[in-house]
Amino acid sequence: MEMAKKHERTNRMPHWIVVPILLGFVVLRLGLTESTAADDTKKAVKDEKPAAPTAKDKEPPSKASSSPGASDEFAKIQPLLKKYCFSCHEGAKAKNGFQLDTLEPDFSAAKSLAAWKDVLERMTAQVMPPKKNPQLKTDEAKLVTDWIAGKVSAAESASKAVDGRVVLRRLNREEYQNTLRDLLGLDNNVKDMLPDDRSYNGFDNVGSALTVSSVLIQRYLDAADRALARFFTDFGPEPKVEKKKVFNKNEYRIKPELAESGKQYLLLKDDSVVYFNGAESGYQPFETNQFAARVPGIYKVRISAYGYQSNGKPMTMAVYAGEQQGGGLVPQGVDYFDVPADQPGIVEFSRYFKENQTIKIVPYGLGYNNIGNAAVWKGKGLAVQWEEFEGPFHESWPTPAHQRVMGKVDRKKGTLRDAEQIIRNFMPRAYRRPVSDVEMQPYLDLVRTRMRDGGTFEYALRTGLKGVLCSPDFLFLVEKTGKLDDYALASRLSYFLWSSMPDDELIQLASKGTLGTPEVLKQQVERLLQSPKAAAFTDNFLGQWLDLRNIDATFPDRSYLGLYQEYDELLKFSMVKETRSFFEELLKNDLSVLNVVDSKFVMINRPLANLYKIKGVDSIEIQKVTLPAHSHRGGVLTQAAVLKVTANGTTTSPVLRGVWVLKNILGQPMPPPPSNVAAVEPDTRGTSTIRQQLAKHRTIDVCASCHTKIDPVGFVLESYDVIGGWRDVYRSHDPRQRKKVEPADVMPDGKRFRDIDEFKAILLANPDQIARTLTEKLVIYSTGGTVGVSDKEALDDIVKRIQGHDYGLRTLIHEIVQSKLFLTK
Amino acid sequence: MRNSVLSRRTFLRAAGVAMALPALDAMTPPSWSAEAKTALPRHRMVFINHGLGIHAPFLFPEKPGREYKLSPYLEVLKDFRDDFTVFSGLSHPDVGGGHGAGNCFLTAAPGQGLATFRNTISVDQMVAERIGGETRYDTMVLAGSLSVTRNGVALPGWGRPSNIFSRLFLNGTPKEVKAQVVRLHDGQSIMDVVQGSAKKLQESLGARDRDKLDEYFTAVRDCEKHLVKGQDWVQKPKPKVDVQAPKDPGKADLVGLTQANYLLMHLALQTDSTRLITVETPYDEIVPPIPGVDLAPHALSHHGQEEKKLAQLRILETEVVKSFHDFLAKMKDTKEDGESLLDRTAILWGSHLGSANSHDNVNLPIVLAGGKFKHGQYLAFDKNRNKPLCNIFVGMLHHLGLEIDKFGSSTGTSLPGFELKT
Repeated sequence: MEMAKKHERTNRMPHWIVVPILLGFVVLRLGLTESTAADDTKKAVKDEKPAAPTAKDKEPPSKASSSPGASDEFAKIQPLLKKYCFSCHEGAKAKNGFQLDTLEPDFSAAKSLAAWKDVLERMTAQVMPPKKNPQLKTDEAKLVTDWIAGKVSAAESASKAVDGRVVLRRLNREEYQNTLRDLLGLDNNVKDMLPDDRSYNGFDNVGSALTVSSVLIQRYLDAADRALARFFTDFGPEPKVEKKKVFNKNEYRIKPELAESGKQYLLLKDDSVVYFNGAESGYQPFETNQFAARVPGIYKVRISAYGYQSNGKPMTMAVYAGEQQGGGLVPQGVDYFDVPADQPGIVEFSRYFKENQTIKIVPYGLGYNNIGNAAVWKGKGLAVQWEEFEGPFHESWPTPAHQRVMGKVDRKKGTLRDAEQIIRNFMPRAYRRPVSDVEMQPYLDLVRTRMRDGGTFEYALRTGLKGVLCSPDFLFLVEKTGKLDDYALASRLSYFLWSSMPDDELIQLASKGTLGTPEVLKQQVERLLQSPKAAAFTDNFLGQWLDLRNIDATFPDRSYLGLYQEYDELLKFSMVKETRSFFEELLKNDLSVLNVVDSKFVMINRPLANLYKIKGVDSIEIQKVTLPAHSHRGGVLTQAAVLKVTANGTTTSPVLRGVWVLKNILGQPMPPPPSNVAAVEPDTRGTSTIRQQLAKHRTIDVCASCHTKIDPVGFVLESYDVIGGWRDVYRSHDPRQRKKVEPADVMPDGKRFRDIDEFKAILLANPDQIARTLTEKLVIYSTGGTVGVSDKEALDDIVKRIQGHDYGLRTLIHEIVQSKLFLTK
Repeated sequence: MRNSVLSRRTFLRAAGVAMALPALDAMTPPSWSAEAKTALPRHRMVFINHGLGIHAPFLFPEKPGREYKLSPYLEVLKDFRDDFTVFSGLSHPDVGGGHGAGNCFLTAAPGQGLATFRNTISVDQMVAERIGGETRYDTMVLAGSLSVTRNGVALPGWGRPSNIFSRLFLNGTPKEVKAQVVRLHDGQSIMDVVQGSAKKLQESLGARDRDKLDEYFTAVRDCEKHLVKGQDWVQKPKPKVDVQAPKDPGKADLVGLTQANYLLMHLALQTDSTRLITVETPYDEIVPPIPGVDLAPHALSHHGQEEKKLAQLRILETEVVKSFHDFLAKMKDTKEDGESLLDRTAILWGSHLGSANSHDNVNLPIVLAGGKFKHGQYLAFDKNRNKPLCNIFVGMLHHLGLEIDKFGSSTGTSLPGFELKT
């Protein structure tokens, strides 16, 4: 979490969430695909509930598969399958349990459809038939894949005509919390009360993955309770804005020590307290116990601090915000600041403080020092003079959202009429569309019964609101098959760019029926992107596309035995900031999406510049820097965050990184390996290199077909270690293991590259592929629905439209919103 | 009643009859049916997973059989040699994905790692649907994400030890209890109302979306049942225990956290607050304060066969095994109706990783302790052709007295050489 440094920006809570899901890791051993598993009749019937069959099982029969000509065409295809595939995939002993001889050309049944798609994917990716087996001639392969693609596409289109592409989806945790924030004007964390959402095709807002269980419903009840409890306590007179200045010398942990002639700390004449130990020391003295936010709101914080004995150089300090809990402050956000040497400098920032939050200042980079007596210690220190807190600031009081719900009604004195009026106003906002009287009735009845039975106004109203917050119309984004109506479109747009409900302007445009016009849509996309709420788009889209959410999944070893002493919290903080800033830079200036593969600039600060060995960056703030020659940087593949999330903290795996790049950048997801092949057992003792180990693996022909694609991509990234630093030689305590990195390799099509720079040039030779991959990811994310074979043309069309605009990212967003994929269910 | 169930089974098995019992069908969740309530003994089931694996060479003895020589970790557990069985050569067929397979440890759903993967119900949740109604809490998800609902959602853990303790044993004030009763009642009214809305909504939806909404219906109905059940329990006082609420150990304190978990598990089972528990050892990316260990558990699990790391891994895991030993001791010392609690509780202790070093999900380290089993041996199955771990799950279901003969990828109700007690 980052603290906003400008006051006016801070009425939102930027929340960077780290989902503790470890990255997929090496999938050298994996099971059958879903389709093959389903086809294996010998397999145990799963404990599946008949009450809620999956959508697939109920798909209506498509015309495509049962048309009379189907069997004739199949008669041409089957001999080819027989010739090239049946040697492995026939009968009971079929490899991996995948039987092709009995696979019917029936594209209406979910099971056989999935199996055919599997065949199509593997043939298109050219991993089947295995390299060492006889290969289909080009025209034969085309005949087979075209036939399957046609059939699959027809089946999909038939299904889309009835049900649309997007499955009815509920709000995910993120969207639920943001929606409550906008609906009720609340800041509290309710998303942690909800179970994790599952994701599908890489995103956790895809309808088919967002299931509903009784646990979830119970949690919705609890979350609504928590939110409404907060909502109703926010009343009261507007809290006064107060200013409080505190001196660190008065902190209860520091004061007595200073009195004892200051062994650990030094008291200076200007009332500053100097501290000589960093976070690593375990001492964390600058917890501010003299302030804690009584009322939540935006506070302006000013800190007077400077570098002491820092050789005229600025010092860096970390400022954590959080709550004091027994053992100390539990950080809930952090930012880093530079302060000048010798003379007090004022650091100023604004931040939303939750109730009871305060701050803690930790000198950065001091480590542990056995200083003996602070008075004579000559080392660097951080002098902190005072801290000032001013707030709480509110846009208005009660908050606008609160006023929207309650109007002028006093929660202590409201009447049944008031309550009814409140519900009537609230429901259309919660449902994001007009609501009929009939729909409102049961919720009004909930309120009435409670008041009639002697309940208070507030209790009755709360129950009614809680009901609305658990209703399906609030929890689900309801869309009808065909072209979206303007209200559904308003929701799709706002959940895409804000991960939250549409605001008044969007709803007004919907009610006028003008939202769907190209010009209005364009304006609205611009408006939404310029709002601070659009940070949610970067958080959620980028966080999942590039797996930034996994940044905390591994800890590079920085213990005294560890290989990555230079890794620390600040570097990690900077890494994530870099990739986010990079994406936002592309978005803001409509720069080409090809920058994803290579860029002439980077967005870095001092710690990253050190890691990347780029000179001339001496600030903690992220800045745009033009890359010098031979930097081996540029694009997301060489960004530290990406290199970190694709490593396991201890070692890098070319397989893992190769699969990652193929999937996320090149749009070529690799099928999982067959379950009967042994995984490579990492051996870092130095007897053999990973290249040797994988070369051996590649001699198994069933492995070779995928690994000829995966390994080269992975090997070129071996030039970067687990935290994204460049390496020519593998790092190790053991000299035997310090082998040379060998990044050179050959692409499956025979193109050779010596290093990352040449590799990137090869990728850039096919710009459409890069643009196409990102387009597909954005379409899935923006609509909450996956794309199929039948959507290929629509995707290609979007890519074509941005070609003439130098593949600009902002143009791409506009083109997606204007596309049929976005405008229809 | 219990005996008759078991002896009938045993008889059939002894006579070599194929499983043709009219089994409670695992396909239909019967909820808390009245019959199940009266028929089932107070038997329990516990699953303990180690997200970073258990180093197999320190666990598995050299030779199988009853006379096996103790391995380093089994040396720690030797007091209970006759109360557990060690298994090797087990796994879930087609469950891969390295760490990701943790979510499938109790579900055995194949295809983890694929974009289209869907998880299925975990064995503890499937049982909870049948016997959960008997205790205050259907199941206890102490920590981790082993427990998975029918539609594939991992249940969140219960949180900090101090919170769990108060949830189990601290009664609210009369005012709080009253508020809770009102809350549960209101919850039921809300469930009624939203079902009505869902019915209306359904009319406007296509077939596939209606299926999705069906999930919502089912969930709302199940939630209603839980609320009704909650109303029964909320007014009954919680059990009293003669133990102080545990203090929450720090995040790094692996041993402290593990012990706190075991303490709570023992108390919850002893007081019959729940009969089903899942837990994961609280490994973190922080170096735990254990003498001789200066690397974090994750770094150690990627030992790359380096001696130094393996030595530290052994120290670390030995501590974890010691905590398990103490848990078994407590379970054995606690008596209920003249039986030890250990005999009434089947405890599966192991990992979904065969080797954390290679993120392999085969040849899993598995120890089954307690319950109605003939223990005291090491059963080693084929390394290259693993037996399904689900067969043990089914055995555990039989220990509970449930007549379910199939779960996940099971191919039978037991494993060769492994039996329930008669």
